[in-house]
Parts: sequence; structure tokens; C-alpha cells
Amino acid sequence: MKKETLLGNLPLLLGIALPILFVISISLAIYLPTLSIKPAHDFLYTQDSRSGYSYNGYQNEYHIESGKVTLVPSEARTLGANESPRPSAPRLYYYNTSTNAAREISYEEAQALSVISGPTSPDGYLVEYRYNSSGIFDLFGGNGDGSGYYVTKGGAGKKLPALSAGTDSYRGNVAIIGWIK
Amino acid sequence: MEKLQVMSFIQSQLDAGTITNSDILSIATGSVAQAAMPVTTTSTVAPQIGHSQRNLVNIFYVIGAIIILTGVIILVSQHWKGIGFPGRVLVTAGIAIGSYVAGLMLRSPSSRVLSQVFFTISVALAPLGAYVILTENGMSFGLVEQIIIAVGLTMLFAFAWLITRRNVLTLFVVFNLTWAYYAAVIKVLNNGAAFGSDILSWATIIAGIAYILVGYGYKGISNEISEDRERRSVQTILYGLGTLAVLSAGFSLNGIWDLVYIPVLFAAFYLSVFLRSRAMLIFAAIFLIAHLVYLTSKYFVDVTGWPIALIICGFIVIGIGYGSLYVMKKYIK
Repeated sequence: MKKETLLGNLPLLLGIALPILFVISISLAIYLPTLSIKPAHDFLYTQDSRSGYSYNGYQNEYHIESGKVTLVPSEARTLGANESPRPSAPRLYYYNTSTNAAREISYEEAQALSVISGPTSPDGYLVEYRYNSSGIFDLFGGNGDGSGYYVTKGGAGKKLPALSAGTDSYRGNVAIIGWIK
Repeated sequence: MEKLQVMSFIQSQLDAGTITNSDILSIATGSVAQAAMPVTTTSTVAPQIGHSQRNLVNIFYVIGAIIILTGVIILVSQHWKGIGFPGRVLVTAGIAIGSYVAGLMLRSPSSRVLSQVFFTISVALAPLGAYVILTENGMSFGLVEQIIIAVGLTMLFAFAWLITRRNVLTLFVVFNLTWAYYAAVIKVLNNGAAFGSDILSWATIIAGIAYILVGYGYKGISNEISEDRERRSVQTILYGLGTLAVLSAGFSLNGIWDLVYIPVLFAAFYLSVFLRSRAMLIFAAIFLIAHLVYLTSKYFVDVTGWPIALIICGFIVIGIGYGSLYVMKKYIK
């Protein structure tokens, strides 16, 4: 009798189970590859809060020469009468990939580090911005909650929360300098 | 009226398609209790008047619900700041809770439509109420919160269905579950931006299939002809929305799916006959026309040129329209 009831309600049960199984499947498809994302190297990056019309660049920019961070003068630029002078260099940050934490460091601290220029790390990882537009209006996060910087290898990627914070509205303000040896 | 005349009249209506065999069967089942009563002129006329009066009252209920919801929308949009936090909660969550309780209390068969109207007001205002309460308390109306609220509302309306067995509650349970489902899918997608928008199309296809399955499996409680009609309406809505979801999301997929989509369309035609669903047949016809026009414009315009392609498309539209009408008349009615 119970078996008959179960069979009779099979379409209803399938109708309820199918979406649940789908959510579980895509969760597994997204989360499982991220388990293998374990970059062995930290990286240096710059971040600039200025954007849009007020952006005039910097007097200097960071380069990697012989495995060391160096400051190189930027291309000369004539500023308008109302334009403020350009700052010396953008802020420099150290991203710890094992703890997923970022901290600002000085140029002197950066010079003490051995750095490999990117964009790819020695173990094949890349830091890139990914845009996620998977939302339906604002009801389901149409503002792109999933957008941000990811450390990727192959098709798999893992979000870098400390790097993504505050960069959603303007993705161009982060520049990867190089990977720590 | 003589018995022979009545039988002849029923036969003519059956032939004309105005009524079906199941209608006669349901009348016969419903009149078992009244069979012992003598059939007089007054006994046949009185229920007709009662029925029309009931319809009129039901129309008033529905108009009342529309006026209430319109009033709330106007109040909220014009005096949102003026009515303060208690006012905002009262006109949204307050009315939603009040209507829910009223719907639960009105359990007698005579209050069938009224209770469903109250539940409709409740389901329309409950998400707004939840939004107001959350945002006014400094909390976000994020995806996790939406999942929790949608699941909570699903359980509330499922409980109401268990108590009252009102057909419309099935739709509200399904709609709230759909809300929870999409919020969950997008929450998962937000953690892995590598996946494209195709996942949302697939999520919609799955939701559509689920709607059709739930519609097929939904039996409801049919004590009266009107309740049976409501149950069939619930099935019609679920079949229609399910088909629309599957076919519209399938249409947005490209590549190999352009080919796979064709058998899916014919499966929809077959299912429309099997489930006797006009909505399914109409959507299948519309999307078949759209897909053939799309395929023509994508693959054959370069070969035939636009004028010939348009002529072909025109004949396709006429052919599918005629074929659909034939299927509807012959197999669905």
C-alpha cells in the first residue's frame, strides 16, 4: 500500500527533488574544483582608490628587475592648471594566499623580497578579474555579488576576498606586480 | 421537459463540445446525495440562482482584494516616509499576517473563495513585509535572507494547505519554492563566476520540468465541481508556466542545442495531447514558429535570400497555426 502511494506521488516527489538535486550538483561542480586551488606563492599588487576623471596616474611605477621590486619614473605628462600634482607611487600590498589576507607594505619592505614578474605564478596560477552577471534584476543579486578577483588555474577559480573588497565598482584599480619566490 | 428531450439536449451539447463526459459524470457524482429529493421545478431553479449569486459575491471578493492591494501600493509609494516604521510594518507584514489568519479561519466550504482571496493578499504582501522588517532593522535583504524567507513562507503556506486544502495555496507554495530555488542557484553561482549565464537557462529548464511534474502529480481535494475546476486551473497554470520556462530557456541555448531543441518542441506537442493542456500546445506552437524563423534566419538566409526566407517563414507560421488548431480540436478540446 505504501509502495503504491509512493509510486502514485512519484511525479510530485520528482518535481520537488529535481531542483534540489540541481542546486546540489552545481554546488559540487563549483566547490570541488576550488579544493585543488592551492597556490604556493604569495603576490604583490597595487591598488588605487582614485578613478574616473580625477585619475592622472603616478610619477613612478613598480617594475621587477633582477627579481627585485624597483620604482621606475612614469611617462612624463603635462598637467593642466586645475589638475593636482601626481602622487609619487601607488600603494603597495602583500597578498598572503594561504590565509587570504592582504596588508599594505612599504617600498623598502618590498625591496627585501625576491619577486618573479607575472602574470603567471611559478606553479601556474593567474590572478584575474571575473565578472558575474548572474542575477535577475536586483532581487537575486543582479548587482554582481560574484564579481571580483579570482586566483585561477585551468577553468577552476577561487575568489580572493581581500582583493575583491572595494573593487567591484572599478576593476581597473588593481595591478599585480609579481609573485613572491 | 420530457426525459427524452433532456437526453436529446444533453447529447446535442456533448456533440457541440459545450460539455464533456467528465462534466456529466461529475454532476452525477455530486447529485448522489440529492437523488432522493423529488425533482420539481423549484429545486432545479433555486441552485441556479444560488450559483449566480455566489459568483457575484466571489467577483466582489476578488475586486475587494485588488482594491486592498492597490491601496497598499499607493499608501506605500506616496506616504512611505510619512507613515513611519510602525506604519510601514502594519501595511505590509501586518496586513499579510492578518489576511493569512483570516484565510485560515474561513474554513467552511461556503468561504472557499473568500479564504483564497485572503491568502492571495497575504502572499502578495508577505515578501514586502519581510523586506521592510529586515531593512528597517539594518539587515540586508541578501540572497541567504531571501532563501530563509522564501522557505519560511513555503512552510507557512504548506501548513495552510494542510489545514484548509485550498487549491490556490499549491501555487503559492510552488512560487515561494521557486523564489528560494533561484536565490539558492544564484548564491551558488556568485561563489564561482567561471560559470556563464547558461547555468541560469538550465536552472529555468529544471524549474519548468518541476512545474510540469508537480502539475501532473497534483491531485488536490475535489469535493465539489468548482473545486475540481480550481484543481484543473492549478494544473493549467503549472503546465503553462512549466512549458514557458522549458521552451524559453531552451530557446536561449545555442550550438548543438539548436538541433536538440526540435525534439523537445515535438515532445511538448505530444505532452500537450497526453496532458490535455491547451497552454502547452499554444506555447509549443509559438516556440516552434520562433525556432524555425530563427533557424531560417541563421542558416538559410545566405542560401535563399531574405525574400524567399520570409515567404517560407510565412507558410511555416500558417502551417503550424493550422496544425495546432487541428490538434486542439481533435485531441484536447
